[in-house]
Amino acid sequence: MFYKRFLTNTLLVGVLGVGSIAYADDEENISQLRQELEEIKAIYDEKIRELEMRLEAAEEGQVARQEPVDLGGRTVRDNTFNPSIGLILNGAYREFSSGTSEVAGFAVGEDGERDAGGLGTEHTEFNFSANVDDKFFGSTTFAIAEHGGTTEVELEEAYLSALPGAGLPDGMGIKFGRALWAIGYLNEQHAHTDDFADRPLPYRVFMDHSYNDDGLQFTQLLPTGDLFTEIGGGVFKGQDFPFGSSAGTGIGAHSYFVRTGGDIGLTQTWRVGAYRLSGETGPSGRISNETNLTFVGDVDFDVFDLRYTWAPTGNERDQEVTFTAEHFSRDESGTYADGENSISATDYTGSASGWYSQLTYKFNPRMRVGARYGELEISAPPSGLSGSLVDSSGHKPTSISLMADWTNSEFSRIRLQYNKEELTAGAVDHQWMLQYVMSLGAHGAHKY
Amino acid sequence: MRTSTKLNKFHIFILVIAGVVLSVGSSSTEAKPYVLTCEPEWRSLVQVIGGDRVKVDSATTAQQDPHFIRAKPSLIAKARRADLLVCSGAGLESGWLPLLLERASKQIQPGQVGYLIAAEHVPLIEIPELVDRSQGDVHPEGNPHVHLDPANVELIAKLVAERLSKIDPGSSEQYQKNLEIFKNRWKTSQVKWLQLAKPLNRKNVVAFHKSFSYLFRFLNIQVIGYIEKKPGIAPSASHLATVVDTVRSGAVLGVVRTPFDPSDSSEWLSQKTGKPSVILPFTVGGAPGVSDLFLLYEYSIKALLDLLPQS
Repeated sequence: MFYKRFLTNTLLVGVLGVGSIAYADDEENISQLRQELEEIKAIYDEKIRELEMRLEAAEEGQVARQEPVDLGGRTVRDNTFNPSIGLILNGAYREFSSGTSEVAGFAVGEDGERDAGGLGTEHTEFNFSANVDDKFFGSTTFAIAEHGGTTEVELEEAYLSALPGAGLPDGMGIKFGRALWAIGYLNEQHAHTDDFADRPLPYRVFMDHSYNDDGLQFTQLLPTGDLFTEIGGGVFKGQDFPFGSSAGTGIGAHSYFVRTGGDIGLTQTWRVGAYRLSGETGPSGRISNETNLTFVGDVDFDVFDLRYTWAPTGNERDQEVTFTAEHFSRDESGTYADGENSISATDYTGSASGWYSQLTYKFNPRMRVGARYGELEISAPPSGLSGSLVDSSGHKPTSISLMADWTNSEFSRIRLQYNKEELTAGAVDHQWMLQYVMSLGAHGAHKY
Repeated sequence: MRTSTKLNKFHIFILVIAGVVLSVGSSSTEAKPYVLTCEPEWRSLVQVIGGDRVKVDSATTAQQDPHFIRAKPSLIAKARRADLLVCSGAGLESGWLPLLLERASKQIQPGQVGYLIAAEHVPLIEIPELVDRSQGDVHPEGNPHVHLDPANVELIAKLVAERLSKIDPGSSEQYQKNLEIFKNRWKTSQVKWLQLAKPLNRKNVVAFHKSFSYLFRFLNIQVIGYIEKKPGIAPSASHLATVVDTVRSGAVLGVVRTPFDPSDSSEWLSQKTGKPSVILPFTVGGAPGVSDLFLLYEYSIKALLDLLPQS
C-alpha cells in the first residue's frame, strides 16, 4: 500500500538521521529514541489502519447505518408515512384604554378590528403536511380561535401543490385549494411569524387579516440568472374579504402579480412586488360590522410591497435589520346599505387606500425591537351615504406600534408591544400587549 | 378617469420590472453544468473536480452559519437553474433547502442524479439516542459537519466526479483525471497532517458548538466541554460557570470556535481561565489564505498547534 511505503521511507530517513546524531551519545539515549520511534510508528500504524478501513468501507458502500432499536414486541412501521405535524401555541394578554375600536369609514366589524382584550389563548394552530405521492404535496392548517366568546375552528389553509415530479415545466408551480395567496408580502406568511402581536392596520380593514379564499394559483419563475423574478395569477371563488358571499357558481375574483428580488453584496437582500386582485361580491354582498353594513358590487384591489433585510455579518440569527412597506388601494363601485343608520342600498363609487411600514432590529440573537406606522384614507362618500358607516368625515385612521421581543430558540418567542391608535376622530386608544408564540413539532422553513 | 390613472401606475411598475428582467436575463445562457452547493467546502471540492468545465456557486459563505440562513430570492433563482446540488445534509439545511427544492429544477430533486447530499453517503457520528427539542436544535440523523473528516471528503469527491460525468458526459474523462490527481494528493496530505498533528494527540479542548467533531476524531483530540449548553440555544450564565470549572480542572489547550460563532462567550471564557481562544476556519474561506480544502486542514492543525504551551 501507498501508506506503508511512504511510512517506511519516512521512518528510515528518521532512523538514519537520528542514528548519526546519536552515535556520539551513550546507549541509553539511543534506546530511548528507539522507544519513542516505536511509539510514533505504533500511533501512525493504528491511525493509518483505521483510515484505510474507513476508506475501504466507504468505497464499497458499506456505510455504517444506525440499526433500528429493537423495542421488543410489535414493530410499528406505519408511522413512517405520517405527515409532518406542527402545532403553534399563541396566546396574549391585551389591555386597551378605549372601549371601542371602530375604524372610521371602514366599518369592518369585530373581525377586522383589534383582537379581544384580557387574557386569551388566541390562536392554536395545527399544521399537517406531506408529499401525497411523487406528483403532489398536500398541506392543511387549521386554527382553534376565540371570537367574541365562542370557540371556532378556522380552516386557514388546505391545499395541494404540484411537486417538480408532476411534469410541469421548470419553475412553474400550481396551488389548488385554500391558501394564503400571493397578495402582498404579509398575506403569504402565517400570523405566528409576524414581527408584531397584531396585523398592520391595512391588513385588518382591507383583507380581514388575510386573504385565503378558495381558488387556484399558478406561478412561474423566470430564467433571469441570479435575479429572482416571478409572475403569477389566480382565480378564486370570491367569498373572502374584500369580496363576500359568492354567487356559488363561477369565478368571483382573479389576481395577477409580478415580483422580483435579489441580493446587494453578501449582507443585503430585497424583494419588490406588485399585485392586483379584482372581483365582485355576489348578489348578497359583503356583510360587515356585525351585519350592519352590506356592500354589493365590484372591487379592484392593488398592493405594492417592499421587503429589505440587512444582516451586518451575513448571519441574520445574530444581528439583523428588516424593513417592510406595503401600499394598498381599493376601488369599489356598487351599492352600500347601512342598517345602523337605516340607509337602504345606495349607489357608491369610491376609493380607499392605506399603507404601513415597519422596521425591526435584532441586536443580539435573543432580542429584537421594532416600530411600525400604519395609515388609512377613504374618499368622501356620495351624498346619499354621508353620515353612514362609510363616511370617515375626513379622518385618517392611524396606528403607531412599538415592540420588543425575546427569542429563546427558533421555536419560542415572547413579545411586549405598545400601540397608539386613533381610528376615529378624537378617540386615542393606548394598547398594551404581552404575547407568546411557541412552535411544537415539525416546523416548516419560513419564506423570505 | 380614476381607473385609468390607477391602471397606468400598475402597468408602469410591470413595465419597469420587465425591462430589468430582459436586461439581466438575456445574458444568462451558458452551456457549462451549473452547480449549486449549500456550503463553501463543497464548492471548493466541485471546483477541484470540475475545473473550468463547470460553473459553481455556494449558497453560504464561510462567515455564515449554514443552519440559519433564509431561502432568499437569489437562492431560489439559483436553485431553479442548477444541474447539480451538493449539500452536507443531516438536517443542517432543513431551515431553507426544502423551500429552494420546492421551486428548483427537476434534475436536482431527491433521487435524481443532480441531488447529492453528503450525509447520505458517509458514516455519521454523534447520532443522538434521545431526540427532543428540550435538547436544543438537535440533528436526529447525526452530526452534519462531515467535511472535516478527510475520508468523507474523498468519498464525496468520487461521487461528484460520477455525477458530473453523468450530467456532462463530454467532459467525463477530464473529471476522472481531476479526481485521480486530487485523490493522490489528498492521501499524501493526510499522512502529512497526522505527522504534523502528533503533539495534539489526546489533548483536550473546549468548543463552542459540535462543529469540529469529525476533525477532532481524525486528530484524536478530545472535546471536554461546549460553551453552547445545547445546540442552537445561546449559553446561560450558570452554564458558562460550569464550563469555567471544566476548563480549570482539566488540562485544556484552549477554546475553539468557528468564524460565525459569537465571540463574546469564548473570549470571556478565555480571559477568565487564561487559556487561549482560537477561531478555526471551519470551511474554505474561513480564514485569510484558506482557499482550498488542503489549506483548510493545514491551517486548522497549525492553529491548534499554536495553542500548545510554549516550552
